[in-house]
Amino acid sequence: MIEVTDLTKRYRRVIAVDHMSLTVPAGAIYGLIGRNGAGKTTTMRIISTLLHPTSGRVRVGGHDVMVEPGKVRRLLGYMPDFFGVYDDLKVWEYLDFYAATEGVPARRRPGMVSDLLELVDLAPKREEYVDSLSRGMKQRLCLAHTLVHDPQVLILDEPASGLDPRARIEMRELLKELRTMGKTIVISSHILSELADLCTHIGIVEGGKMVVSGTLDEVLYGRTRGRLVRLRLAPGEQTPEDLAARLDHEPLVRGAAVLGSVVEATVDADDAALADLLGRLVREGFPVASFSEMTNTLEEIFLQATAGQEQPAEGRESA
Amino acid sequence: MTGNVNAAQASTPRGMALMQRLRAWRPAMNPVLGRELRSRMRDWRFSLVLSAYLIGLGLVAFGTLYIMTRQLKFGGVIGPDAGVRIYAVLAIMQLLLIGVLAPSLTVGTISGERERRTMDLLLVTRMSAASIVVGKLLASLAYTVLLIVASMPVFSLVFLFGGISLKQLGLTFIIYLATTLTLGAVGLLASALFRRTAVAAVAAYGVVAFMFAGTLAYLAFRLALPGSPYGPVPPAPGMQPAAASIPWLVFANPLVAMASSLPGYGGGGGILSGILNEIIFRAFSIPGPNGPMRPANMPTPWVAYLWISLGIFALSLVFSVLHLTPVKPWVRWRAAWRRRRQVRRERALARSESA
Repeated sequence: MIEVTDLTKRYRRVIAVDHMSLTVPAGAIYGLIGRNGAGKTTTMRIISTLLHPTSGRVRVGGHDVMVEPGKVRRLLGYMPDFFGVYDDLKVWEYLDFYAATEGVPARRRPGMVSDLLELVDLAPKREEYVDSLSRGMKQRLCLAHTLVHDPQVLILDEPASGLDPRARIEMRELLKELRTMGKTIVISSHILSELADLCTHIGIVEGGKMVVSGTLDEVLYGRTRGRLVRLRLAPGEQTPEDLAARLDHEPLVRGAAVLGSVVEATVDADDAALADLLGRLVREGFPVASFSEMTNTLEEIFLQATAGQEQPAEGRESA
Repeated sequence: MTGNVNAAQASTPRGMALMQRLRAWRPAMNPVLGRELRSRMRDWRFSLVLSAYLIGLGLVAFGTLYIMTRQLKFGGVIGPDAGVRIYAVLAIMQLLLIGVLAPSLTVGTISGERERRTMDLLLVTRMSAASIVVGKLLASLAYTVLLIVASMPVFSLVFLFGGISLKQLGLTFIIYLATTLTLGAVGLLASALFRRTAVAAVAAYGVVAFMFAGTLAYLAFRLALPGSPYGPVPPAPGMQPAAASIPWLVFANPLVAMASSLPGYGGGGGILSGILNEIIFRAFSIPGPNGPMRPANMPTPWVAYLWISLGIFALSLVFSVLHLTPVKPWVRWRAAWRRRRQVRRERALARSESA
């Protein structure tokens, strides 16, 4: 649905997006992760036809964002990270206005506004001024407004930022509902656990470059470096210290530490090598009672992927 | 859902059907225009502006009448030109009010959307930058026209005295319309160019001040130069100021245009209600056999003004739209051209490979 090829966006001295490529298949939920100023917002704005790339190509539904921005806009709904509302409009007027800007005929608007308010759980607020809504409600209202023209693609930049936990959960439920509606969604977020829950694809962006990308499974389990494995031995001759010492000899093992009765080892190996290691340990007589990989959370993966780039050379401006 | 609406339409009585037909006509309305009108007219400030506007204009009318009646006591007369004199004062006063109001109605619209961070939301919709700009301009126009219409009763005072034709009224209205649109477009351009509304307001009112006062200052400067009929050094007898010596810049002044459209202009200084008429007549006149007269090659100031304002209006609109468009047309054209070239090359490559 969305194809980004070799995208570069350069401001005068700063490269905001550096030869980035990503593909979002139809129906996928693509989570973009990266710290502030990594280039997420710039990428999303380019996809949404609000910025033009310095080089590279972006296509949405087969339409080039540069050549046919109008067609792309019809396909997509965009929710920026910071947005305002027209505070002098009522909730239904707000949606009605955006429906009008998308060319929805006046006849169809009242029904659609009701449906959308129902969807984002704001139906009781219909007659209130937008200004009186809480932040979470405004965020949901903004999400609703991206849906007025029933777009196939949603570009959501930090839809849950600045929300309290309850509002965030509501937002997540809403996004799950959109997923079941078959929308293709690109979403960026700081709250990584949320993305793991929601996304089918993940891309980690750092310094304008795509560092890690793939399906959620590939990203979570498909790594071959820095996997944390926790082993526990059945009581017997071999002590955890012996096991740690044994593991330290293994070339794939970066380090092993004893934590009480448990040994924790950081291993650079894929699944096959990991299985092989376990087999060898057992054959050598270690009574391994438990051998489990500490499931890498998205947080850890993110930290590892962006490690070593703690201090970007130039202060990057998020645009 | 659509089915419901249709069923409702079929079963409604005639009056409702009419309402629905009217509503169905609504999509023709620019959504930005609709929203701006809704917000503006809902705002309590509108009634405040309208009241202040009418009170101000009413006071001017009253003041003029008062002066005229006072003059009666000192041997003055209320002549047949009384209506024209009051009309002239009111027309110029209203023009000044438009000069103050028109830019303020647009100068915050685009920068305000940016400051409120609603611009991006608007730009990704199906609306083009041009229709956004036009919507905002029409909203300001509607506002001003409403004020002008509301001021009609004050103007009707003139008809107690008579002397003003319907044609004259129409001409005055056209000058108001042109001024509103031009100053509105200037305000829009400032609003598009400057991110902050305060800066945009300073820029827009700078242009307005130049049009209303700066051009007159320039005229004063030109008049003071030797060779001008009213300069310190009188022209040699029989010398005609050259065509080029007409200070064209002054034609951009709405006050000059209005004064020249009022009755009495160019008739040898007959009925001069405003000082302005005097000024422009003098500025553009040359000594003739029967006193001062207009140079033959000089256009009527209000006609020239309409053309100049049309130019300013068009340029401001074009630049506003260009500045607002996220992906500039030339960037698009270049991208499209590059894509085509790439496709051609790939085809040529494929052909040469197959050959």
